Amino acid sequence: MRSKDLETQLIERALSSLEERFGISKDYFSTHHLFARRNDVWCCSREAGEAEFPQIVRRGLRIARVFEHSVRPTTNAVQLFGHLVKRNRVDLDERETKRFLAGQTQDIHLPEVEGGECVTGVTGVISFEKGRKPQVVMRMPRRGTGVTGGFVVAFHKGYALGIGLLKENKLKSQVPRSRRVIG
Amino acid sequence: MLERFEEMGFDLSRFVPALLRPPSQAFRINTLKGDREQVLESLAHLEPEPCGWNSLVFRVKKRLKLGNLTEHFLGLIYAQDSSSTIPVTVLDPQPHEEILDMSAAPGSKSTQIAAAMRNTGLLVANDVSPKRIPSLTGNLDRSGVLNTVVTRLPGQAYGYIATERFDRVLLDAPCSSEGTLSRSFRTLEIWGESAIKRLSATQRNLIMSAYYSLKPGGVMVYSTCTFAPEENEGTVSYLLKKFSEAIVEPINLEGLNTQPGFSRWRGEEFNPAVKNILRLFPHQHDGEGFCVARISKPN
Repeated sequence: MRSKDLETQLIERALSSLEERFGISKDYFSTHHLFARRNDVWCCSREAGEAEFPQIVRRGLRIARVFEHSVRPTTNAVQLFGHLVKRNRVDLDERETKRFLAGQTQDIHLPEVEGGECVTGVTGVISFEKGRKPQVVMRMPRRGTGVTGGFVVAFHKGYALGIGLLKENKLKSQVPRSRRVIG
Repeated sequence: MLERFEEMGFDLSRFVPALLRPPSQAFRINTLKGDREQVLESLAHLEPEPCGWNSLVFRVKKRLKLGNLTEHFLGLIYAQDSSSTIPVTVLDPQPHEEILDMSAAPGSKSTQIAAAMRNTGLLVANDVSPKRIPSLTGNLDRSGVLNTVVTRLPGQAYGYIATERFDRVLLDAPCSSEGTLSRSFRTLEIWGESAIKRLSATQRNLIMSAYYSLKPGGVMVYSTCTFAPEENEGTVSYLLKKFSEAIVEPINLEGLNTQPGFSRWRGEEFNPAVKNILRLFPHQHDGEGFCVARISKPN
């Protein structure tokens, strides 16, 4: 069984990562009960954390998985706490959202910028002329906030969709298989 | 089955086609994740029509798979039959309470309770079936529920392990599911007089356990999606026989065409208080057949 110290360390690492990478303040969780199981950090109401019953299957919601070199928030957690995300937000358009929900990896032409606000991705008008390859004739930049490579939160119309892994302008959806929407 | 329906006094020429016709699809807005007005704006293309009894429940006439909508993926809405939103509306959960959902899977009512509690307090979502637990936890996750402990116990145990603990208890009991025939004919595979007898015995044990686990001054809701009087008025009458102080409260919900509980069935006279049970029939209401009783435990 994991000692209390290790559990506290794991929770602290997860909360620090949420704060540093996404700007979600640790204070937000001060009214909740947090606990760790294996490498996962869970969150529930205080009352749910203290309740004792036989045959408990689970309490609350898993909010993050802690790996050796990184912390990945869960899709369910960012959908719930998405409004608190200040950094590493990527806004997706309708088409990109569909791909993201289907669990696909997509090219989003995202320049990696350290801190600050940056232009993320491109939408535009494409011309389809007979005998020629489709061409982008007008580009319209969209905006993301403080985006760097690594785990980012994908948004659509202001709602947090889930976690994506951004690497070399490719966004790999981390939506779990069981939650994917195909078609 | 048809003979029983006739015995209950239904006009089969109206009742049976309505029972087999799928009702309008419906969804409930999940306020744990979204704002009512914003969600309605994004779903305006579906032309949702409000259900009078709950400002968060809407019917959709268009035929489409609600489960494929982005709003569903985000947990902003929960697709469920309009009738199945009534038990929790009647239970009226409040923030910071301790509430038990005794037969919780697949979680439509648990998620509705958690939203009403604004993710505070304690919701115990219990289901005895290991096979049904994943659907329950999946829906709790999608809906962003934090105040829940999921347990896998026979509901009958709660009367012993949590005596007089809960402010409110929902017992959406396992039943012969006659009211859901439009969704699936699987009901017909298990349906029969013996199945009704067996289920009614289970329901009697569950309702006793639910009542034991209720605090004095607490409220419980007993509901089923079947028409069988043995499983509805019979079960509630049984509780009233054991606990004469229990009160079956009248239910007043706006915009619902309901019928009172039956006073007798096959020679058995039920407790007169069961007339306060709310019955919904598919030929009078655009939703599945349902039966709901609100029972309070005096201080």
